[in-house]
Amino acid sequence: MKCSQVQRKLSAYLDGEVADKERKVIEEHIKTCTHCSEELASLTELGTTLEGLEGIQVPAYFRTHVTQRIKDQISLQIPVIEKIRRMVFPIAATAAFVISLLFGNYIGRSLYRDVAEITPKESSEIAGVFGLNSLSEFPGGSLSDVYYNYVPGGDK
Amino acid sequence: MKNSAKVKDPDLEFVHGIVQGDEMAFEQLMQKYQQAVFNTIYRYIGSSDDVEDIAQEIFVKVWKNAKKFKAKSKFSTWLYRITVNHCLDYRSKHRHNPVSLDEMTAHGKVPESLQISENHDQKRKVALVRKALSELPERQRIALVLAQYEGLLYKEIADTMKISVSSVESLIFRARRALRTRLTELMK
Repeated sequence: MKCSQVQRKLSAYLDGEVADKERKVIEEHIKTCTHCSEELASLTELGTTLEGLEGIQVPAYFRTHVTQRIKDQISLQIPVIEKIRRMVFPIAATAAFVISLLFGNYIGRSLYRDVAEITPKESSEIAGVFGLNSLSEFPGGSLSDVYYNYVPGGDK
Repeated sequence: MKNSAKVKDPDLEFVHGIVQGDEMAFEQLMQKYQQAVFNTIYRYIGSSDDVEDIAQEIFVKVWKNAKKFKAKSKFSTWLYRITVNHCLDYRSKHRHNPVSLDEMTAHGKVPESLQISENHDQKRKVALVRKALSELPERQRIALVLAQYEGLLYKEIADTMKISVSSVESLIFRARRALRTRLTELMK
């Protein structure tokens, strides 16, 4: 093997990447060739110099950061329909609640107005229909007492 | 030649776990390879600034693409391939921002173990090595980092880089020769 051929193989030789037969040839050559021997020493020294470049420490929470990043990305990948559903549902529920309150309020006011507009005579007639006229002197705070006080003319 | 006999990939079990959504398997795999990934990125890009961010991207990719891993190569080879691609991608985006020697020796640019060292010569020597490494052509640098620091077989590097073993040998040979010349110039 010529010097140029040996020198091309020295790098692989240092990495243990030459076949046994080739390794023996190289080793025999180096024994007798000062130039190739120096080349090998030089490459070995380079390897030592390169080893001086240390690695870098992995931050303590690296794995936590990775899993968090994955979770963030998964949450971003929720289908559009699901995103809309998640966004619309609370709004719709709130809107339904507000509408029910307003509607209930409207119904309540309408009924109260209807009752308020009843004349004392009509009220007495209504009380008569339900037989309330036969009742009197309810205990204070009882349901009937409240009703009588609430319905204009109910106590007549 | 180093023994490259085919043995069952010990990481396959973890990969199957990841495919099933097993976070513990993923944690264990990260624990096993995080240091190698960090070191490879750091030695390749020549700066500690974005190493964690790149490493996070790599492991997120592993989690997302585990089901695409068909075990045609070892998991570690697949992981190194992802790492190399991310490094190349990073370099192509930061091609116009080379790290100067002064920056390399400044605080925060050299490993902590060397920052606290009293040995200024050693610190400077390391900075020179990093500069010389950073000046190597991309493929030479990748091949050298994987062989010199990660101890990968030429066959594994060839699989990682999707080139032939003889090309790997040639890349590493040229890388070492260029490094030696450049370091001699820088150390004068």
